[in-house]
Amino acid sequence: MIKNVLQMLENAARLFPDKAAFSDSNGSVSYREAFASAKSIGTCITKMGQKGKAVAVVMEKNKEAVISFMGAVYSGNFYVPIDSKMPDDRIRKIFDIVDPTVILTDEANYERMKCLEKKVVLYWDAVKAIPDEDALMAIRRKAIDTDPVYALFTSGSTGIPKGVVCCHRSVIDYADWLIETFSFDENTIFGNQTQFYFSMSVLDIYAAIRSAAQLHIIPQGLFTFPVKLLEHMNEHKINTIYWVPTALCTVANLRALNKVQMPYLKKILFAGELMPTKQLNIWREHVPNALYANLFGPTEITDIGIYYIVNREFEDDEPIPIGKACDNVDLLILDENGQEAAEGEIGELCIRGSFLALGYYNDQEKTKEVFVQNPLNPHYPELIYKTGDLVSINDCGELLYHGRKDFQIKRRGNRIELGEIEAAAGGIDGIEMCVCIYDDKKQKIIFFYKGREISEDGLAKGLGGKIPEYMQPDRYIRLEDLPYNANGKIDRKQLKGAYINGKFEELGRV
Amino acid sequence: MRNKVLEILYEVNPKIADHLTDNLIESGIIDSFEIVNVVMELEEELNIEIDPELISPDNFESVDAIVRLMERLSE
Repeated sequence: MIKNVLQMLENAARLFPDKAAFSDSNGSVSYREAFASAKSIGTCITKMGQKGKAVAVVMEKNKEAVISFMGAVYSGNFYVPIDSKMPDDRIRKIFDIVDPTVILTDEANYERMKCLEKKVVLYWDAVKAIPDEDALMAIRRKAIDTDPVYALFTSGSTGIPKGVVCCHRSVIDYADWLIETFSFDENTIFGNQTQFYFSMSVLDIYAAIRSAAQLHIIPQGLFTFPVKLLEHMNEHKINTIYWVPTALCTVANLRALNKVQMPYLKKILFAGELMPTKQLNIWREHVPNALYANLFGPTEITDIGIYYIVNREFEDDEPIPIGKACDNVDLLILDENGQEAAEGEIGELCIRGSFLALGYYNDQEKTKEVFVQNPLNPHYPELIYKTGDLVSINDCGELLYHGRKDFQIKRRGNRIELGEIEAAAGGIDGIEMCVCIYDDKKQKIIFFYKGREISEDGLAKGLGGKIPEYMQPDRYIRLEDLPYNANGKIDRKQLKGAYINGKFEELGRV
Repeated sequence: MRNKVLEILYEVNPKIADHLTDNLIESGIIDSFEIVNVVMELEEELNIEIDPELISPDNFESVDAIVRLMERLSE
């Protein structure tokens, strides 16, 4: 029985020792090498004497980062991938929550991490440690499959990021479902696009090691230049991708597929936001024999729990279904009273099954709000996760998406709580009140505020020190006063309506 | 041409005004999402077609590079 994610790596290293495991623009490492390096890192961290704690990994996106994750798990700890481009302020908030036992980093981030007053270890030093097989064996003996593998931090509506903790069992079950559903094997070559601090990368990493496939990390800069991107993919014979729709759309919209044929590409998966049908059709026209699949779900259920394999033609204006539950995942659609919604009615999507995360690290309160007892089962403890997504079921038994219960948005695949931006802005001198709305069509975040006049540059700089680049508003509009609804809350609907119709002058723009 | 291109670029992304002489790619002003907006707006406003192969770092690294490319394509 597989009960630890490292067994997947060990199996691959045993069966395919010389096969490429992870690669990036600086070359590749074999499964044998990845296995050995991960054990060295594990040994190095073990010497610090802590178990069950966080190991923060602050590295550029490369194959060494993936090996560091495995190394952290060897040491009996769990890993926390950190976006090195994040402002110090937000990194500190995350460190306050997880209190990492060590920060694993590279030369590019070493000096900056040193200033955060934590124990910092360079990857290239850690990897020199001689593996202590006895110590690693002792750690494995004590490990069980409900121990955490990683914590991924996602936006929090109060301004504090939330660390979603997932255990071995969830990751292993998800990897197994992936292999069975999409027939990944040792000939699969994944072309990774998503960041390691986002849950979509869990598919790339663990489907790869589970099937002894190769995980190739595509240099991020290439996504701006689609012809070069496609040429790079062919050069590396990438046959499987799991990207956010924005990345697929850039390639389609800039007509790169007219220029470059994709003879190797066989599986095209996407998730993270709505996939526009028009661009999907462009892909299907140029790469007709590939499998296309729409995956859906939040970080709190490992990666996704619902999927749809594209099996029919769609008109450009027809939405792509989000599909049905994965095997061994069950969906409940609950109404406001926690009862099952009537057939065809809209309700909140709730999930039960082994993909469920353990909760939010060091945040009992937030955990209890959304990981709750199944209201349909009063007989014994059973948790479900309330996603906040509003859905219904159509006549074909497929799930349809109707938006969010709260103010969470998805922009270019990034999950953002508008509340986090508002909380960060609240700290800027001169802002009395503020609110953000999202223009879904143009994918722009619009920031409205009341207060002293502040230059756009000043606002951007003020926020830049607190929130990551992908959360930055695109426009700042100062109003005499913000509109309120009958309940005394800021009227986001009115603001959004006025903005989209270009009528914000009416709201008292100053 | 330069003024026309600048007008289009400002409309797509006002931040470009602060980076007139910078490398737009390295500074992150033009990323994988913005490139689509930039290319589509330029094509529409200038009534030209930009061959996908011309969408390269050389041609989009700076305001000057974009202006040069547009001049070439409008000839």
